[in-house]
Amino acid sequence: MLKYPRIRIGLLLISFILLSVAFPLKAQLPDDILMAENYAKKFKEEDILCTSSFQYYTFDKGKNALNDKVVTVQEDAEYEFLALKKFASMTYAEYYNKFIELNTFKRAFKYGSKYATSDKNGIDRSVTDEGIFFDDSRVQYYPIRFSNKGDMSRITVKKNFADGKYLTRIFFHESYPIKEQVIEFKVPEWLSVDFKRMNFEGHEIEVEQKKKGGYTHYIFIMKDIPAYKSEYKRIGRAYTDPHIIIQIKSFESKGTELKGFDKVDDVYAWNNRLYEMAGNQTEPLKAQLNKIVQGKTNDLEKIKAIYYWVQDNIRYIAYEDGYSGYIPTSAQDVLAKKYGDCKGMANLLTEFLVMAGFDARFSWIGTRHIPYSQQLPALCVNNHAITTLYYGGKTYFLDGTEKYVPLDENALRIQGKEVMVSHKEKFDILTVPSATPEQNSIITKADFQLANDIIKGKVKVTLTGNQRTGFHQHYQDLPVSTQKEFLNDYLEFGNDNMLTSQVKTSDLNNRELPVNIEGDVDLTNTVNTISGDKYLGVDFFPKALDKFLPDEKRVEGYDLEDVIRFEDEISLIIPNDKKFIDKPENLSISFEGYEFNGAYIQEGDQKMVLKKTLLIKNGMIRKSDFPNWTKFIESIKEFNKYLLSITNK
Amino acid sequence: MMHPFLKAKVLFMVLTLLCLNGPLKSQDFISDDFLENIEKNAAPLWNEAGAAFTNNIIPDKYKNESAVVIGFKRNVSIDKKSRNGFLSRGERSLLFLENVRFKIKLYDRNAVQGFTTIYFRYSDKLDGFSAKVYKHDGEVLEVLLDEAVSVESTSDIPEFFKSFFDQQSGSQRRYYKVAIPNLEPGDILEYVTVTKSKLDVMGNGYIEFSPQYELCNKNYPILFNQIGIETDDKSYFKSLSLNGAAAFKKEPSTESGFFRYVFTDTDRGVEKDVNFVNTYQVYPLCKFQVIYANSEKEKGALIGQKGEIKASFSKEELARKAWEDYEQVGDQPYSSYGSVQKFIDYLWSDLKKLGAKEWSEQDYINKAYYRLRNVVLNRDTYLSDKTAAYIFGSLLYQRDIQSELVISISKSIGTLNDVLFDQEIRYACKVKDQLYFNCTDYSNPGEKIESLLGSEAYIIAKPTKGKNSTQEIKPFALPDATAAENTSMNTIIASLSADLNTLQVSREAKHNGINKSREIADALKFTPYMLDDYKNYGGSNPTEKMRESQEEEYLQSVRALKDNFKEAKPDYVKRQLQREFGKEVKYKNFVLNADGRSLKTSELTYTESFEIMGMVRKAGKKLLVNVSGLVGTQLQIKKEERIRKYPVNVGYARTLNWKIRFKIPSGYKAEGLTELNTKVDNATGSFSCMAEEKDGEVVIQIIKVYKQAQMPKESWTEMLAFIDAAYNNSYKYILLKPTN
Repeated sequence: MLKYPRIRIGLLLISFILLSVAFPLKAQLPDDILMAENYAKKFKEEDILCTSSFQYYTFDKGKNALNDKVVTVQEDAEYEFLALKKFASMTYAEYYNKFIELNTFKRAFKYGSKYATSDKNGIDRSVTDEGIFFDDSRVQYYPIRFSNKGDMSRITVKKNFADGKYLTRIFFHESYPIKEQVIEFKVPEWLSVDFKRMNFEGHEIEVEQKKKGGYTHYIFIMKDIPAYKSEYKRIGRAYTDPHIIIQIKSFESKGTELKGFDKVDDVYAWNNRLYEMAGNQTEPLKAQLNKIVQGKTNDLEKIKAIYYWVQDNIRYIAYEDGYSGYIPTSAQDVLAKKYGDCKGMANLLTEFLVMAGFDARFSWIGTRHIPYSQQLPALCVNNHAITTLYYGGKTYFLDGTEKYVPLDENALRIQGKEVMVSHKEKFDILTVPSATPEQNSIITKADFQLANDIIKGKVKVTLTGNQRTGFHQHYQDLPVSTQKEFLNDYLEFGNDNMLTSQVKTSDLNNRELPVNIEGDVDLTNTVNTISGDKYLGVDFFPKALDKFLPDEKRVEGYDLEDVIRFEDEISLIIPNDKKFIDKPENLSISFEGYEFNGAYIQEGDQKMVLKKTLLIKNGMIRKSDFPNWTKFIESIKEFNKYLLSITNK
Repeated sequence: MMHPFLKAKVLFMVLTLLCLNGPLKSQDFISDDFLENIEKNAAPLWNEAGAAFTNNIIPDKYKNESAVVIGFKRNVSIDKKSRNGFLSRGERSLLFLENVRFKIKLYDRNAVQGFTTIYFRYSDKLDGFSAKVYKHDGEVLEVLLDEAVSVESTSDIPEFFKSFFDQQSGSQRRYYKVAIPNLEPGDILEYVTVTKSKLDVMGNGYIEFSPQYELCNKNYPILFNQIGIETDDKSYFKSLSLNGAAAFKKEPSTESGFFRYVFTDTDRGVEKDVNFVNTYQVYPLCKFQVIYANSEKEKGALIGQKGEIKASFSKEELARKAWEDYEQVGDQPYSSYGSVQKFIDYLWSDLKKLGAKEWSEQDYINKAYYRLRNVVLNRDTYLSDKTAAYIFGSLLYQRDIQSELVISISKSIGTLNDVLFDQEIRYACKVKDQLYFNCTDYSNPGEKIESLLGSEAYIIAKPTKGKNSTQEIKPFALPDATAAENTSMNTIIASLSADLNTLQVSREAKHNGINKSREIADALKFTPYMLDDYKNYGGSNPTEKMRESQEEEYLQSVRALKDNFKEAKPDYVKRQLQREFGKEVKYKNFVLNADGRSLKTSELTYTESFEIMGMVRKAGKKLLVNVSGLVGTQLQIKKEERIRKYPVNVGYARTLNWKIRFKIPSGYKAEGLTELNTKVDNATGSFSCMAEEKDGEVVIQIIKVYKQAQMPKESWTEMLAFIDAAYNNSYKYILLKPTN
């Protein structure tokens, strides 16, 4: 039986003492100790500081796996780390894959004034994401453990990008704090490259440009960079953190100018070339298509039948190995296996629709956490594939991975995003429409009656838009044996004292209908009878908002990942021999992006109605908005705190 | 993610850890060269007769389940000889030939997702795998393996898919995963695997495979569950079925000199997870174990005869085996000391230097215990009961202190009649009337262990020598612990914050008995209690033997450790409190008053200060404060659990006390105190709450008592009465009315 992590710390101490007896300690220079002491005051919460981070990029010519002439990039990097505390430790990792070769990866420790490089190689592991079945992403890493304040270590890295297209962007922030981050590009004359400066505003970043021996050096220097901290629902870092996007525009080879990504057309040409490599065949799709559209009498019915069939029958399983991570699996393969990734699903869906006589196009899009416009000619703009359908003078965006979403509704992750729509040699750039909070609503209607100290009544919840889709995505994937229990729980608002029965729903097999869930509820432990009066609450505050109340340590804003309208109407009827003594104050509070209105309305002597609405309009709360946001949340909490008082007539 | 079917699994643990394969290889597609072999090796399994696998009819009662296992058949053949031409070095190795056949009807998307990826082994040229999908229209699809991908680390493979041999052998075998194509709700998935492994037994005359606890109920209903164990004449088999489980039966083997034991269980539904259940004592369970012994001489006493299914052991057999095992501990290896006995010699020498010969007998007993606890404290793992008893008993022997050896069984396993495996025997030392159990990092001499409270036991003596050897065995009952011994006393001082929004709380907690055992690891986490542990056995400060530079280094290390703890403790306490109250909490302070790790201060005492949100509500100008909610989240028994199917096991009797003093804010008067008063008392337990106003404070005394550890299911209604009372009380508010 293993014990607790605690003992390891104790053991660390004992091991250290034994080591200190057996072996001489790494002698630190007094300067290093002094430096550590000084920096420890500045970086108070950190154990380790990267005192120097230098990334040096040089460019060359080569051929990629498709035998194209391309620009290759070599990265030479060196990082020095200083322990600000005793027993500090970290893991340094370098990622690579079939496009990125990790040629050198060394760790050295400083002894006195010199570094001694360890013979040990980094630990090598696959880093395939949980949602990916197989890919070529790998990592090598070193654990770095320091015994004393002032100990230093150095990491040396040499990497080769076999195709410069896939060196898309470089961030300044890392998971450790950096005293000085230098990113330098040595650009030869035969290469035309642009370094797009993203989110530089508000950050002190020195930019130098120097000519030297036929090369132009672009140097970016940023100092005193805090560590990147992972935070709950943090806004995607590309929105906030400074970074450089590398745009290889063109290069010269044997007197000929070859295209890189100068314009968005070049990106399209590349994307479309890979798309066409899928090798679709229509014949194997015919039988299934006929089955799907059989009996459908009009176009919209056919379109929906095809779209929903792909959603329901193709499981998300992704193979991303080298270029196969970019070339869609053929439509016939996806159909035969009934699984695929976003490209595979979009490919099959597009092919089905085209075969059925519709104008459908394979399309590329960047999801919500990618902030870039399609006008930026770089591969980091898109990370997802969908189908664009032109029908009846209207454009539809169909996402095969988005299970249970109805036609003409879009997942939040693609709303407001630009889409690159293929059409052989040409392409369109379109924008997926954004939904309003009213289109994604949770409407709760409850009618309660007070009888003795128990509240009884009926509750009905209606879900629309993405809320309805999200419900289906969760509900339909539950074991059927637990679905009933889930519905009961859903109507209980997470309130342990609520007991639901007689639950009914709308037709949950129809994804297009709003979801209605209704049932009878008994609410116990809610009425407090004190000195003959009763105190009770009927306001079921959406508890989830509590998680979005920033504390003083919060570094960045929130991505709530929801645009939503909550609308509650909760009535309470009390017995004829009772009366309401007082009621809570109304609350109306509104800021750009979110608003709340809540009011208790007395109807006659025996009925009180709570009406409240909460609107989240775009789902992103920037850090600069925290004062308003905090006031907003606190006000709602305060409103929720009030209880109704009831006394005898 | 764990496979849903994993919960009840069969494991074969090979005690000898082997590294049979080379280093890991990177993730990649399967080689085409392997495919033909894999299918060829698996092919014979499809032809095996098996009525359970031909009938796809699912009883109507399971039609609303997520999936139903139609058949699950596992066959393990353990062979010392070189049958089937498998080995070139026949007698050196033990062969494991494993066949698995699994068939499941997937009714919904959840089940499809659960089996969308399956894993198989191809680590030996005789390994095989093959899978089929039966569509609801009758079409049968072979699962092609050409896009199977190797799995980089065996830790990424759900246990369910590992071969029995691999599950705990620790060997890194090459496994692959395959995404099952064209799998939809309504389909039936069936696969077969064959794996062949070998275990080098040269030099090992005796190997125990880890005990197996096969729970008949799984996460899905299962219509047919069969385990076949085939052993050669060097292996022994024992099995015990409990609570209505099917039993292993002996069947004729296809080969002479082999024995075949078969467990066949049918039609088991799903058991819901409920509170207070002693799993092994209520759910149908089949325990079994295989033991390899190359000679009669090598085999221990807790084994039957060749070809026999040994299902129980007499008192005499148990006692003899326990003693034999106990006596062997001294020769077992121990760290760098060579053997346990040499380690004991070292400890005794260490104690002598501290003056052990001059200590009183009781003082010596206690310090020997603490010396052993110090050893445990500095280990990564705990000592087994047997080893701890041996070391402790031997240290007592050095001072001519007579101790007796006590053997028992954990309450979660049952009574001594249910002992089937050596590992189920628990050991303790008895000196006069005092029992000494195994050490934890925190235990004091003589403190009781929850799992052994009231357990049946024997005091066993060394068997006499000679042909007619006898052994004295005295039946004994380990002491239970009453609710008065296992206590928690929480003294809470609370007041409202200046803005009247939150509760400011200072809580002094005192824990004794098993309550202390349960709380102590959390309380002492991130506190430096281990640094002066040596004081408990009269040891010397580690710095005494250090040179100046070493001492300086040590002290720096201690400071760094304390700094780390100081940084980590507030977050830890905050998380614990938030979990306890289910509300947002602001941490203020934590003080460890007594760590409860010495006989002088055996009570664990600490004080936490914190601020808790969401306890105050408003009604006009009045305030309502959930003072009784300061007892923390109380157990709620939901509707679906209110009808009891099984006996109730709450672990141990205990008393939980809260004394809350809430300061009434100036300008307010308190009401609603009498409404808090409640009392429920019956044979199973009690709950009481008494509130009064005293000196400007609301004083609430709350006591919850679990009077018994185990109760028949008929007591459930009584139990609900006090559990419900405690739960309901935790939601009550007091009213603060403005005086003006």
